[in-house]
Amino acid sequence: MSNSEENNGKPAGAAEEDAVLVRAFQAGDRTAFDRLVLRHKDNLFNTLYWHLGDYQQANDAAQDVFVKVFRGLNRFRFESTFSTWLYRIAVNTCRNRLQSAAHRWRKRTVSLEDPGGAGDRNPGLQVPDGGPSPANGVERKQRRALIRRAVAELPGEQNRVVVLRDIRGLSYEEISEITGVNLGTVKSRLARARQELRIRLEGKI
Amino acid sequence: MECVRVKELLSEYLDGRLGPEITEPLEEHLSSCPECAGELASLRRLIRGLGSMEPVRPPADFLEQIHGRLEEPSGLRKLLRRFFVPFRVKIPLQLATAALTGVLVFAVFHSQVAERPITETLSPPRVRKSLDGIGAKQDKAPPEQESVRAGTVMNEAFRAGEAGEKKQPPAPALIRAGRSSKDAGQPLVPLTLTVRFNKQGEEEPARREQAPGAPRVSELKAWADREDRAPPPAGEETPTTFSFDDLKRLIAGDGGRILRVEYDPDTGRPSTVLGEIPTGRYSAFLRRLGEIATFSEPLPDIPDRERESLLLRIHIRKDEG
Repeated sequence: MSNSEENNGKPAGAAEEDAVLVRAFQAGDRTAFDRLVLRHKDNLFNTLYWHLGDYQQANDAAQDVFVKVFRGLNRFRFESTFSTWLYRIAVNTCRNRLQSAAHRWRKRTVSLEDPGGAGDRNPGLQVPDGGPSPANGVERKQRRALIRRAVAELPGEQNRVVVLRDIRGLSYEEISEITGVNLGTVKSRLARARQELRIRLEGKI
Repeated sequence: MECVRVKELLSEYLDGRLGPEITEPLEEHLSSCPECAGELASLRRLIRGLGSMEPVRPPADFLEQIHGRLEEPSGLRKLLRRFFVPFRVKIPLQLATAALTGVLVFAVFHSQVAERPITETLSPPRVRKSLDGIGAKQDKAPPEQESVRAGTVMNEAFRAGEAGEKKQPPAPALIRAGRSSKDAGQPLVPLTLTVRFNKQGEEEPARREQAPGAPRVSELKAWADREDRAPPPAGEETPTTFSFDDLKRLIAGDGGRILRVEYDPDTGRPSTVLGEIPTGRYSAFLRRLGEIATFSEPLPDIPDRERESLLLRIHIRKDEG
């Protein structure tokens, strides 16, 4: 995937469109916020889902993120793109949730063995065209659950870079800007995360 | 290029992050190393698999949920509302808290002032009928209500039989309190001892029959008439102060000790003896003391039998009669 013409997975003009909406909001147009939410909610939600490994957690976190965006949007100074700022808030929100005592307790008591269960609930999941049979659907669900568990069990810093890179499609530079770590660290963490996933998922996907 | 180095670069290679100076030797190695080539293929499958995951979408009413959150007070505002009252209530509460804090600090400070004597007044002493021969009067209040100064308690164990002790007994003010909560504020039980002195060479008969072993009146007289009027060093044995030595022996024999001796400045004779005895020995002490002396006032009872020891102030009076 080439990111040379993309910005956070969107065409280059997307950053400018975001900037227009932010200025409109700062000028008093509250509907501009709704449009920003609609533009970014799907990618953000999916990213948070892979960070946290749980649908409901992702929903709560995504709402937290957009509430923070709403409250801070008037102070946004365009020192980065809106999308970078948005994902920076998302990464910090995830980090706080994962470090919370409630999450640690939940992790101890809730099994991640959830192939197709509540943790994998996804109303938007579509069965691929080539496989309408129930068997393919079950297999896909199981495969997805395996990958989700493997990604969720990575150390937090590796989880963040592999999700932003291989799920979200961001560049190394964007990941560095969002996470606040230098480029060399992004490369090394990504390499380790991928190696770990490769070993765990070898022969299963 | 070594396999270890090649494997480290595979992730960046797949992302197109390597320059030609590295890519060429790496690809040359991959063409001849099945292991590294296999790992490259495995890694490529993983990355493609991750990228092909169907996206998980938010609920349909996601935006409405956000609006609902924005209309609620924020967590901080909720917290402020819950824990911070309006000023009209807050200020009086703060003043009340400050006042209460001041009272507590004052109380704690004063409770820690050490060695403050506690004064208590004895109720009219009761006379115990078991004290035979002492001549106590029954249920008669003393002529005057005597204030008893309850001293503090020596924080040392009793030492019995230390009649020869030469150690300077501490003044009552130096006695430290707090051996135990039971002994704090130990009451001082005054005993008044009457000694008859022989005037103009006459030897007055004993007021009652002397018990065996009790000092003779003549010995008491010798003590009373001693020329040495300078108060002797406390605790030092003075053979002429017969009753004082007897008193010391009595107290020591009951497991107590003399703490202080006060002398009459005019006569140089002991006027007051401050001693300490175990509470349980009080009765026996009174019995033996009654054998060598006459009590001028009804004997006070022990106000608190739970206490381990008693302070006794024995006033030695010269009978002028």
